[in-house]
This record gives sequence, structure tokens and C-alpha cells, in this order.
Amino acid sequence: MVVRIYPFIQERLSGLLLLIAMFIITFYYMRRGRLPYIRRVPALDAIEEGIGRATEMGRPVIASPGIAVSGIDYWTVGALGILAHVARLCARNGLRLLVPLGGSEQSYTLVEVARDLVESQYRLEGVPERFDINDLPFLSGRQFAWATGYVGMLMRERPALNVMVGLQWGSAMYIAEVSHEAGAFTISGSTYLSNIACLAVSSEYVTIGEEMVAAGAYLSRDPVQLASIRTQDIIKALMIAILILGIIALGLGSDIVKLILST
Amino acid sequence: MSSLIKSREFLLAIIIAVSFFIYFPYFVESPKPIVDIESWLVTTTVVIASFAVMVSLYTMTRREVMRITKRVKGWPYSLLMMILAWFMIVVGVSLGKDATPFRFCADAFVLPGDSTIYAILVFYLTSAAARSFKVRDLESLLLLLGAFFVLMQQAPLGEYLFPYFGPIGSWLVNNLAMAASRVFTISATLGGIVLAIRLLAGKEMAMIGLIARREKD
Repeated sequence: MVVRIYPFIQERLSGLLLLIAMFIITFYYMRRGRLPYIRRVPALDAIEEGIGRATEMGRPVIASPGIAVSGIDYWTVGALGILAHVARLCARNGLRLLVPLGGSEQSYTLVEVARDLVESQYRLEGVPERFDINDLPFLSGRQFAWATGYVGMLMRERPALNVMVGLQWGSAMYIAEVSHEAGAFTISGSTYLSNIACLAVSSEYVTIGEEMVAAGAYLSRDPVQLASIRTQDIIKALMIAILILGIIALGLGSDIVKLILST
Repeated sequence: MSSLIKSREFLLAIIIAVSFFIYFPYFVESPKPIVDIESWLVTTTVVIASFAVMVSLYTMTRREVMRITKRVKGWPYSLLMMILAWFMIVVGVSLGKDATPFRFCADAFVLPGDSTIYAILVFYLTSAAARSFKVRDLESLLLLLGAFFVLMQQAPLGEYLFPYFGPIGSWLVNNLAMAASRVFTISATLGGIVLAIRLLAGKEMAMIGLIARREKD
């Protein structure tokens, strides 16, 4: 049985209520403005370590916001937050930043957004003359052609730090392994579940799950932004409670939780 | 006018308006004008992406031509790529993607290149597996055992060698791995929703970076 409440589209009301609850909780914590406890994310903290390594070695940094297979989705926005952070640190430390762009037929929009974002960080740090658009090439609209170009840049330029985040598919393993061979300190993040085990092996650090999409708030250290992460924790606790309730209810022969969620 | 377009408030208003017209028809049965606006927004995304293709093509050509004229190391490859890319563009646009010269280029250059790189992955996976499956502690031992059972379940002769490889491997994949993948999916989706809320509130770092540059200009 499915309960239907007009004019809400069938099976989407519970999702809408969850979304509204998340809005309310997030804005409540944002207004409070107090710094909530946020657990450390080693992969994001390690970016500064990698930048320090690149500065000491006098070698460039390479960073990718992924192949944006679905255009600029939330994974790519999260990756752009990390790219902006890396670009700012590179501009501040006088490091050359290479950003291989492309990788899918939907990545063309990302190319311009990423260039604009990196350029803005160099401007904000007061060194616009250091920005070179040729270091942010569009390599290809095909995944493996892009990956080959990326790997070529790794082998030729021998960067000290490789930050590969955003949507990464089958080519991620190829890039991470070559990055390891090229001696780069590799920080990766994947939205592709099957990749995570492989990247955990090939990389120094890997971001898992929501860590990448929370990166913008985490790296900003802004209490208002960090407050939004508290919402995730609260809703996750709610999800666990619903799961346990659902298991108990099903055990007792009732599908009430399933019915509520499918409304 | 240009200062209005570049202002943070104007950009945020666009984000909020677009979000409303995408979210609202998804959850609520909406009147036709709202559904039409939603369809128009989706079509606009495709149009913008098409323009972005041209911009990317232009910047790629400019970069490669610069490499060729400056005789940068490896410039013959840039020349070869430019010849092939522009040949495929001209033939594809004028004769269509089913034309023999276009199909020849795709079959003779593009597909073999893709397949080669994909095949190389096997070797990289093997080298990474060799590094990860060294038993250093209890956790790495469990990882090795898990990987061994799943590998033997997938291997053609696995179940013939030991009939329990199949059930054990299936149990690991359908229970432990499935539970972990659902945790990943739920947490990532929640992270995405909170990111959207931060974007709508004008708090997301990537978005602020773009706006801050424009305010400084």
C-alpha cells in the first residue's frame, strides 16, 4: 500500500519533509554561529603538508577537479572548493599549479569555471601575473585520452603534490599509480565506490563519502559554514534510528516505517 | 548594469530562482508554466554546454599551436593531434559521424587508444593489489582473506577447486560490502544536500571565490 497526498508527487513527500528539516536545522546552526565540533579529515589537512613539500622541493603542484561526467554536480562543486584552496596556497607560496581539465563530454563547462576559479585565487593573493592559462589545458573530452594527457603531465613535470578529487572513474587508478611512480604525494577522492579501495592503496590520503562535499566548509574554518556539517551528523543519527525502527517493525510483522518512507 | 550582474546578491537570486523551478515540480504536481520553465532551464544547460565546447576547442587549439610554433618538446605529437582533431571535426560536421573517413579515424586512432589505456589498468591494479595485500596486522589479514574469497568466487575455476568459495564470496559481497556501500551512498547524498543548502545561502567557498574576484575587479 502507498499513501498518496495531493498535490505532492507520489513517494516524494517524505523526501521533501527531510529536505525542509535539513534546511531548518542548517539555518538554526548557522544563526547560532558557534564553532561545532568537527572531526579531523586527514586527507584535507594533508594538502598543506603537500604544499609544504612542493615548496621545499621547488616542484609544481597538479590538481584535478575530476571529469564532471554529469556536468557541474555536487561532487564537482565540492572538488572546486578543494581546487580553490590548492590554488590559493600555490599562489601564496609562489608555486606553479597545473590543472588538467576535460575527461568527459559534459566537462566543457567545468573547464571555464575551474579556470575562472584558479585565476580569482591568484588575483586575491595579489599575484595575478603568476596565473598562466596554459597550465590549465583542456586535454580531451574522452576519459582515457584525458587520463593519458594527465599522466604525461605527471611524468614530464614531476609534481611534488597531486590532488585528484571530484568524479573519477576507471582512469583514477591509472593516474594514481603513475602519480606514485612519479614520486608525487597523492591525495585522492572518489565518488565511485569501487574506486575507493584502489585509491586507498595508491594514494597517501583518500577522502571518503561526504568528506569531499564538506571540504569547502571544512577548509574555510568559518563557523557558519562548519555549522552546516552538524546537520549531516544529526540526519545521519536520524537515519540510523529509522533503520533500527524499520528492522524492529519488520521483525514484528509491520511495514509501517516502509509505508511512511514511501509516502 | 554590469555591476548589478556581477553583484553577489544578483548571482544568489539566480541560484535561488533556478533551484525553486527545479525543486518545486520534482516534489509537487505543478501548473504547466512552471513545468515549462523547468524544461527550458534543462535545455539551457545543454545550450551553455554547447558553447563551452567551442570555447574548449578554441583554447585547446591555441595551446597546441603555441606548442608547435615554439617547438616545445614533443611538438610533433601536438601537430599530429591538431591534424587529426580538425580533420575529424571538418569531416564530422560536413559529412556526418557515419561517413567512412570519420569512422576510419574513430576506429583506427580513437578506439584503439582508449582500449589500450583501459587494458593497462589491469597491470596497475595488480601492482596496487600486491602492495595492499601484504599482511602487516590483523586488519590487513582480514582484507587479504576477504579479497581472496571474492577473487576465487569470481575466478572461473574457483568453485571447482573449493565449493565454498562461491557462497562465502557472495555473502561478503551481498552483506558486508553492500552495507558499506549503502553507508557511503547515504552519507554522500546527505553531504550533497547540505552542500546545496550552503550554495543557496551563498556560503560555499567555490562560489564565494568567483564572486570575490568580481567584487575586487
